[in-house]
Amino acid sequence: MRIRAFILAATAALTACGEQQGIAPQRMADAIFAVIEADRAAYTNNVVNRLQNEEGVIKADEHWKDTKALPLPAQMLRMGSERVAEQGAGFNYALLSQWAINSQNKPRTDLERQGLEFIVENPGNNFYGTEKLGDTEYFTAIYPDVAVSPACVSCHNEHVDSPRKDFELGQTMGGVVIRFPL
Amino acid sequence: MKNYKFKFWHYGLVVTLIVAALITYNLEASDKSFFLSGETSHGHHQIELACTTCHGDGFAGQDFMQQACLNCHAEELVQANDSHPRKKFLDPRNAGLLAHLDARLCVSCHTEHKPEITHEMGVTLAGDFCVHCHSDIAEDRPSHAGFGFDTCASAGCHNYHDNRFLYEDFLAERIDTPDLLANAQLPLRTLVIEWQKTHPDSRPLTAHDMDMEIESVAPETLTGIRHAWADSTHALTNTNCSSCHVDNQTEFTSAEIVTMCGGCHAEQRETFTQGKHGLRFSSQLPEEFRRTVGAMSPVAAQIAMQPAASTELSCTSCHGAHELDMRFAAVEACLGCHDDEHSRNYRASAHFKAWQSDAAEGVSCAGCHLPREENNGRIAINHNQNHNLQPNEKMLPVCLSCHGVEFSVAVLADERQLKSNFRSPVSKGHDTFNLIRDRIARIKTNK
Ligand code: HEC
Repeated sequence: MRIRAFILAATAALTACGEQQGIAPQRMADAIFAVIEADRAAYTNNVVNRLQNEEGVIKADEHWKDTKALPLPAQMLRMGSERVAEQGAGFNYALLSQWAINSQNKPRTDLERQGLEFIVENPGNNFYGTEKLGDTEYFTAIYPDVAVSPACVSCHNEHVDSPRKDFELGQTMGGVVIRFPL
Repeated sequence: MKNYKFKFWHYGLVVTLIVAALITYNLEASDKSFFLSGETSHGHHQIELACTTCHGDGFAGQDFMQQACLNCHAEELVQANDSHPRKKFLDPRNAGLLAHLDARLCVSCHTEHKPEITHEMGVTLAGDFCVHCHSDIAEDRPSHAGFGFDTCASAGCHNYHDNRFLYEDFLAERIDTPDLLANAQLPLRTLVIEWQKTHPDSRPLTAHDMDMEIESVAPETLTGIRHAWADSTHALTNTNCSSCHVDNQTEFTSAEIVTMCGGCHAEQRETFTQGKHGLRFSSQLPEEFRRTVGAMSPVAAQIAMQPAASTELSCTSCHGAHELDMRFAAVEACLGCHDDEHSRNYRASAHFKAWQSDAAEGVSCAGCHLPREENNGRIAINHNQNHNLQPNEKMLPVCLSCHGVEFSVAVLADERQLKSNFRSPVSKGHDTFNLIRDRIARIKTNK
């Protein structure tokens, strides 16, 4: 009898803990973004910038397979996000922009449009919201992606597919969208 | 018993039982052909009785079927740098698009056993499927405004899966090449050279080294075999009779031949069994199917074949058992069976004339259809003759060994050229290049 009571109490306590431990969606998204951003910066600085611009060993190129070059940072980010999606990790992310080189990276949902506009007009701020896609309600967070180096600006301004040719250093070029079902 | 009266329903019962027995026999003990729900497409007709490969136990769900497609086709899609891989459609932001067309599943576009709606590439959708997602293309590409909804993938411009040789940077880099290159030549084969490098001390075998004598074979025949073998790459690379004729075996089934050759030539076996020549020996098929159905034969082909061609397809049907004559394997072997317009016109083509005169730029059937592919500095022959056949822009790397890119794209997109084996007058240029000429100029100045 005592054992059963103990089990019941323990289960109740654990369930309560479980409920309380749930992380608020915003904190969760912020944490995921920190990882994405850190990886993006590390790859851009320590791989692409070093090997391409400083040591001149190898270039980064959009068609990296054919040219035996390094993938661009944006492509690296997408490879990660596609892998996460394939693993069914429970969330998705993408690098989007209203001035996208790759038209598949243009905002597609109303909230994406609204959020990208917001982060461009309010530098230094993130955007959070919820939206319904298909039958599912999602929490969506959008973080600014800023032109941190002259390479960002020159490559995008010169690219044939870029709809915008006047990016400047320090401007928001797009945003990382993180999304998970509620 | 004598007076027993058969009633009508008794006959009904007997007929039902007989029919049921027949059907059960067909399902359990025979070839299951009663259960084919419709004619199978050209891609799968030769293996249509290997039901379980795709359908599992008959009750397998969508996931099983999808995995079945991937078991055979995933590698090729990776190689093709698939433009629409499943992983691109997993982001919920694409939920709206998936409602039009569920691009996560192969069968959304490629349904089997539906001959009445099966188009080129085994596509079973109406020709406007690109429009479901790309109807706004003219916003990004004003040059594409007003294009027919079925022109995207039908004019040598885009493919759904494989665009490795059609993207603008690729074209831009090669746009200035002349129609016929000065150093036109296919990559040279390296297999024997590789072997000699790893076996520097090996001496070629001669007719006297033959390590097998058999009484059951007439002396003249044996002499013929002896000389054929002594002149072959096998003698050159220290491969004696007993390497293949283990235990003095002299009669082999096609399956045994493929397995035996594959013992040394694993890559060739692998690619051979991926294409239509060797598909029935694919390791993805059930053991029982491979044992009972046997090799492919031209008799079972869906395209035009010589009426007299009835051999079974294995390694030796093209290479011979002892001769290993590469020139024969590259032309005569093909034309011994194939009898479509393109094949019939080959011997009148410029490709063949150069081949016959043994010129460096000679092009055999195999030169294009069994492409020589570089892998880690080695050139290996891909024995999957379907590998670069459809959509035919996949053949561009072969064409580009000798021709300019605009010429090649234009010729490949021209149905008449394919039929006449490239003997029709070449029309100047290809529309795809007119659409992107100014963009290509910009890409080149930015580089
Ligand atoms: C060498 C050229 C190059 C450089 C340098 C570069 N990008 Fe990009 N960027 C691209 C290309 C190409 C794409 C499209 C990739 C894709 O999705 O296929 C892209 C995609 C993006 C996108 C997604 C929207 C779009 O345009 O498709 C953002 C946002 C972006 N880049 C921001 C940046 C920032 C910020 C930097 C600097 C840290 C940067 N890029 C550096 C070429 C470049």
